[in-house]
Amino acid sequence: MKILVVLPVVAVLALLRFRRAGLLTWALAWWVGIYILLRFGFIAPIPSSVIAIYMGIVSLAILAYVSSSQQRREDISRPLVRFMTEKRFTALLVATAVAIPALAAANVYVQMSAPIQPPLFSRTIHPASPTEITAFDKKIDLDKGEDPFWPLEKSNPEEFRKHVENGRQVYYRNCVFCHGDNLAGTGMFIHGLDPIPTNLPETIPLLRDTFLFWRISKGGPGLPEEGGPWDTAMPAWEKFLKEDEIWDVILFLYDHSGTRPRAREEVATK
Amino acid sequence: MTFCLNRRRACVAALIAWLCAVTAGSVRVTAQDVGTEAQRNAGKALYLTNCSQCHGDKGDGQGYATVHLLPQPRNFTTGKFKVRTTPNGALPIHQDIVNVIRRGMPYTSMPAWPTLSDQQVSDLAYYITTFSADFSSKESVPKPVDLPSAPSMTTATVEMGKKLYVDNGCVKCHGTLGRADGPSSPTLTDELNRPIRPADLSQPWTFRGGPTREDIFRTMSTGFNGTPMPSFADALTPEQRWAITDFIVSLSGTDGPAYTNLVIAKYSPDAIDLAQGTKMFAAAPVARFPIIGQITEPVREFHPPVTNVLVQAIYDSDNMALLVRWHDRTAEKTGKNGPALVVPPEEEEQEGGAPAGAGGATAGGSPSNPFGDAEVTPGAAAPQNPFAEAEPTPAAAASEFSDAVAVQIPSQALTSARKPYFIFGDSQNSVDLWFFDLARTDPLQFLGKGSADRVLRVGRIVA
Repeated sequence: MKILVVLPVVAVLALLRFRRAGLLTWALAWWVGIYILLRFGFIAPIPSSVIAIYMGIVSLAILAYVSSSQQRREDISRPLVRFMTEKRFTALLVATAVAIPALAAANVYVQMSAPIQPPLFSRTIHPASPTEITAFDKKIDLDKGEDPFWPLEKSNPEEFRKHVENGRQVYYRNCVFCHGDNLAGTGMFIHGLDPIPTNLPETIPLLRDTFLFWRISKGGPGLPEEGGPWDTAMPAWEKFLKEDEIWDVILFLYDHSGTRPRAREEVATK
Repeated sequence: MTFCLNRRRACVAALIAWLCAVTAGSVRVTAQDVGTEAQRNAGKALYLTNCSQCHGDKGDGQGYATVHLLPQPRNFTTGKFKVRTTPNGALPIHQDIVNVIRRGMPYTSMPAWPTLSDQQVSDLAYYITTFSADFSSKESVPKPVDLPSAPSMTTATVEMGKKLYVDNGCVKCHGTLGRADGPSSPTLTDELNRPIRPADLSQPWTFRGGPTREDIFRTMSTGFNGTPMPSFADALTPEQRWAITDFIVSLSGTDGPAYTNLVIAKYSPDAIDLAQGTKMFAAAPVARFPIIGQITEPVREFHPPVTNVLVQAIYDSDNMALLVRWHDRTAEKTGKNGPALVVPPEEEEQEGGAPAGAGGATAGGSPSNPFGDAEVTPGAAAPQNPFAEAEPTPAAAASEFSDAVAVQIPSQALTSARKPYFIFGDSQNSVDLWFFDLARTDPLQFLGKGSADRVLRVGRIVA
């Protein structure tokens, strides 16, 4: 709860109680106060449709309260009757009678004149990968597999650096134009791309290296439908690169960004 | 006596020390600021991680990415830098190099580096000075040119600037309307004899030195070293340079490109009549679509001469018409273009490939072709979904391709969020492809069902 919103609402209600405000003011204050609390009082915003349901319930509750006895029905209707019958309120009454349809009309006008928007498609950025893909004339297991050059990191560091350096060359000849110099998806072509290319250092630690192999080798056209394959410009790199080059560039991506692939989830069997 | 002698020695020592201090002081004032050994070493480490892939380990502009880049990365060994505050031909000062690293160069492969700290950028700038011996030579001490603050821009200064723009030969390269289509423009080369394009003054967001009035004034006052862009610091007074600046600003304003992905078609109460030309589109809102090289399918295109197209659409009760305009400095109308053409597989990349190979495959043809503006005759077809996507045309060997524009529209009205794949459609979701080739007089219409086999299935040809 946001204390800066809650306290003033409570304070105003307390003040009205203290001043012994009329029942109509009291009911309206409760309605507005609860709306403000729901709309602005919570740190995590509540969807407007949920607020509409809550306010419907609140309205019913207030109506039930003000009509629950003869005394209250009279209390609530007296100011309204006076407003509609007494001469000194005539101008205000006319203004209200004009304002209500005018506000409704203005609301319709604002909604109708909203700028035209292209149809929206919400895509899943990291759709679930298949367990196995066929690339370079063989099946590659995305669940159990891993970058075949990771073991070199310990067994032959010199050879490992060579693979990373080769990956660097592959990246700067193929990927840099969109994904950019610092891998952040800010390459020289991004003015023409929508959606923008992935920010790799932020993304790849959440993914397995085999997931990257799937995304790189199959590209945008290989996305499942929820990923919006028709919307991306990511090429299917199996057409351009050798298998080892893709594994090398994956090593480079992790090495350059100082991250590691997400660990495989080991399922305890037995 | 001894005391006195000592005092004299002390005096002499003090005098020598003072002289040394004065000399050292004067050296410090006039020599290029190249930082300390420690700063340069810190810069080197950053350079090898962040810069060498394009600028090369030796600073000679020959990195991994260089083969595909145009403009090519700066060769630091020449000591020639484009964006500076120093006179034509002079070295940049330290702050100039820092500014370029911070801001990057728009519409080139040089990005801005907001993630580096001020100290890191400064260290990098110091390290870059080690590639050229000029920076440590005493003769080439840079002194920034005088850049007075901007007077206000008026119609009078714009008019004056327009006259000066013509009189001083700007028009020869940058063209009458600043669209980089002057008569000399196809012949321009840089210091290494590579073809170079003049800036398109109608698209200030692409200016390498920045789009503000101050930036334009500075470029005109200092020139771009290593390019045909001269300095006008001696030839013109500051008032005259500000006047030309104001004329350049008047060509396009200082607003950004306002790229969009939405074309709003305007209803035309009269039936669409293509014979009227572009007049019918006067009331239709203009959408600027960004375009980039086609780098998804072989043959890839890394340096398109066009960065955007302007699209307008109108419709009447039966037809829809599109007007697509682009500003192409290498308009090519002689090739045999067509999406039905079988695209050859991409050639094996040559190690350190010749710049000619890298520069050959522009969408618009070779840089030696006459430059010119392109405008496609508006085409009309059956009423369709107004949400069209304009595609950059695929590139191939330079002489085989003319400029063309293809408009892709789903063949069937969309019933869900699923759209056809955005290059030539796919097997389940075909597209109607309207194809306008500057080398042909008649527009073509195709049915696109995917590019997997790199041959488009021709639907019907509308003569």
